[in-house]
Amino acid sequence: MKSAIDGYVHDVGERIAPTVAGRSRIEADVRTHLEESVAAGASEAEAIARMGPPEDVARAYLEGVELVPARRTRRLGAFLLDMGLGTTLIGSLVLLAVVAVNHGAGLENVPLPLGIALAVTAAAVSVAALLYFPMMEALFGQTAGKRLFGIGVAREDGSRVGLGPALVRRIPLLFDFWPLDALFVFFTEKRQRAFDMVARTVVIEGGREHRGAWAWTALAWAVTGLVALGLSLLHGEMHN
Amino acid sequence: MERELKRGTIEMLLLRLLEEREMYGYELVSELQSRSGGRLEWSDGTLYPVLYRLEEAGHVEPRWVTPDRGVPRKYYRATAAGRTELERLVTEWKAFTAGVDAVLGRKDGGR
Repeated sequence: MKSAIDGYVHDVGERIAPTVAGRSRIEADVRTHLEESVAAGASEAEAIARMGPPEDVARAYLEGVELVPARRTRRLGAFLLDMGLGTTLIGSLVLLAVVAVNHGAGLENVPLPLGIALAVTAAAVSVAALLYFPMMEALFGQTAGKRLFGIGVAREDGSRVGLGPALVRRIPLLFDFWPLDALFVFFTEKRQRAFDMVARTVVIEGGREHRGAWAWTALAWAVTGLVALGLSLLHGEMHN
Repeated sequence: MERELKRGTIEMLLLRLLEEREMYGYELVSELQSRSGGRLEWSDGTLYPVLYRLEEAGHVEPRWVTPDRGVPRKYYRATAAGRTELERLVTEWKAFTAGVDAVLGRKDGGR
């Protein structure tokens, strides 16, 4: 069963973006301090009250932390990897769907359950694709691509990004003006895109870049290429 | 003003305690409170960011001690650089408070 100390330490950690340096250190030190207080005779409630509100502890910690804006090459790599993974997944599903339909010799011969399954899968994949970036950044502070490239998203004060700001910073992707939005990275002090500034978020260095990060990116796009080739061959076959 | 005064003096006070002997977090807070006669109180949670700053500046160094029984403890002690920094801070503080006392001591406002 979770103790009050566990809950308090969790509350402190929740107020610090996952990729901020030293987050685990402050959590460990807060826990040790509370356990010391209890060992000295205080109740858990008394020890927690002396510690102060978790938001104050997190804020005091973040005031002393330097948030290093992520290198532009890492941001580009992370974006390419995420997009490569996405197009590979979506392309593979499209390929499977085309094979399934082709196997049934035409869309009109697809059994209804399979047709429904394909439609539902298509809808789910579309929604997942739209929500991938904001959900991953809100829940974990980073997407798969950002994790491999050792960067993460935080609020400007180092606190965790909520779903609202995570959605706002992705608006340019929905309306196709993301290249203009991305240009701001070259001119802003914290290397923020325009919609990072609107959402008051910042992409920060959050660990070591994985040695194979660029290799994984290349692989994702190579697989995407193969899937695209497969689709075009099938398309050619269907029309012969 | 009290908050700002605390922020401005906490590093000096921690270095003063850690100059005497190494202490762990809870012990530091207890010593601060008892030696000040209860006049100085900090939320325990604001202690660690200050200790991290002192550690990064090379003024204190930590070490973990795992007793046979009980909670593992992280002890801090002042380094030589920390002792030098403490001297500087104390000198600054004495000069500052002497100046403040001098101004406060003039009832005619200097006229």
